[in-house]
Amino acid sequence: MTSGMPTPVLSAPGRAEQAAFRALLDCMARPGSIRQLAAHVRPDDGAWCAALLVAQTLIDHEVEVAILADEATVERATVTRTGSRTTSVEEADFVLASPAHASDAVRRARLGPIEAPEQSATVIVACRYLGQGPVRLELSGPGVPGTTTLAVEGVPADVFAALAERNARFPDGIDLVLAAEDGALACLPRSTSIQVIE
Amino acid sequence: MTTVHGLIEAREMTFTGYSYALIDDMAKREIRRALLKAVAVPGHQIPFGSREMPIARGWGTGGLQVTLSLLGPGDVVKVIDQGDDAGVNASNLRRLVEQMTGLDTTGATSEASVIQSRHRIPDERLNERQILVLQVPNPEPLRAVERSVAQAALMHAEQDYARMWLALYEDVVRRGEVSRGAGYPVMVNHRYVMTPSPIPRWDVPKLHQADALYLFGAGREKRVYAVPPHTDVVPLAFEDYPFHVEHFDGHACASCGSTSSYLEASPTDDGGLRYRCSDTAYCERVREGKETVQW
Repeated sequence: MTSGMPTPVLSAPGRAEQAAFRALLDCMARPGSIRQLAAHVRPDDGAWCAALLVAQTLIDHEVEVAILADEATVERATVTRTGSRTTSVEEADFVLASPAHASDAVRRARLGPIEAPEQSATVIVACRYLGQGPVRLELSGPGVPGTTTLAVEGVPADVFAALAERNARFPDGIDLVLAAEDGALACLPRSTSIQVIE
Repeated sequence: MTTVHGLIEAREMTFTGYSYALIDDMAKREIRRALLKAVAVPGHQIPFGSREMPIARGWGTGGLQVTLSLLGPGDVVKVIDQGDDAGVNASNLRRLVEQMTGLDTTGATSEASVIQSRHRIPDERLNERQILVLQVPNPEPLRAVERSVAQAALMHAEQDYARMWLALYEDVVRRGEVSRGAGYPVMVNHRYVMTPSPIPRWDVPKLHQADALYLFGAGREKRVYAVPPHTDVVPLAFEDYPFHVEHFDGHACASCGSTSSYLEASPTDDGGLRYRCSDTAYCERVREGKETVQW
């Protein structure tokens, strides 16, 4: 340290967001790998703890969000914690979806224009478990040496079939974040080839 | 329970006039969104709202903003300029990072979790826990053949790289080889042509199927882009004029004796040339007899 100036302190929410972002970045760079979020600071969030922490990390008033969930608390929590506006699924930058609505979210989420594929939506799906479960995905592409397998519990297989279909024409596509109720996180960017193993 | 004394203490602790890691929460969020999209679309340039930094544009503001949006407790930071930890630019950026985060910094490549670099990829192999942030002066590989930003974006969208190939062909016709040294154009994930920033050709193969994540920040041009680990990165070349890295005619580093690192030549008093490692941290490790993992 070269000056007497005190070091700026990272606030508790700032710390949670920074850690969540690094986990997201790692998962996005290494599709299929699972990272654990410290998502249990708000016990009321229940099954949505990780999904809401991801939302808080990435969403603010500069972007718009769509909520596809039966629980009204999810929309309230998202709006109050992020300062974002809600909009339709077709127009949203971010879509938060419960497993039952995930297929709908993946099918309807926005794609970016051809020169700016990054303007497509990011879909955040709350799931039960990652690393175990009946749906097994074989993944390959950037970030994956060879192929890898991701098991998911609590999200129907047709969500991933729909995702593979929407992401068939790279760089068009949407990016999926899976956020489990125990705080586990995995990402399926559009660059990933997905094969659903029955 | 909240006490007045506690509140005063908390205020004294936090009141420095600066956010942690200098940039404010909203700016960080915006950069973080851009970085995730950059990783999802390897090699594609993503616009971001490059903020005013306390250093001049063109001195690493893009890389710095990327680095600052990553950092948190537990990180160990290394900053290098042309391979040199002691360069003026690197020293200033490192001091700024230290002051704004209180994080430990290091010269040792293997100890760093986040490495910010200008114009070099370290000669020690990066691992899967590391992120390399490269400072980029000009992120647009098509700039030399297309001046319009909008037109270049359309060419990327349509994967229309004919004029890029033509420029490389003309280079071969005029000079007998693709003469580009620093910033040799590469094809990322078989889709986007990307400039790897002005790293020497020596460093280009390090981008291909690597273990580490590469992030690129261009502050003046307001772009970020990325190469995820285990991604194909292929230098543009012709079958009969293949890509090759620099060679040093059998010279070894005058300091450590290395013949397997990138060397820089400097003139000596007697008119000759002396070769030395460009990566000072690597050179030091070799001199100390420590183990180095190379690419």
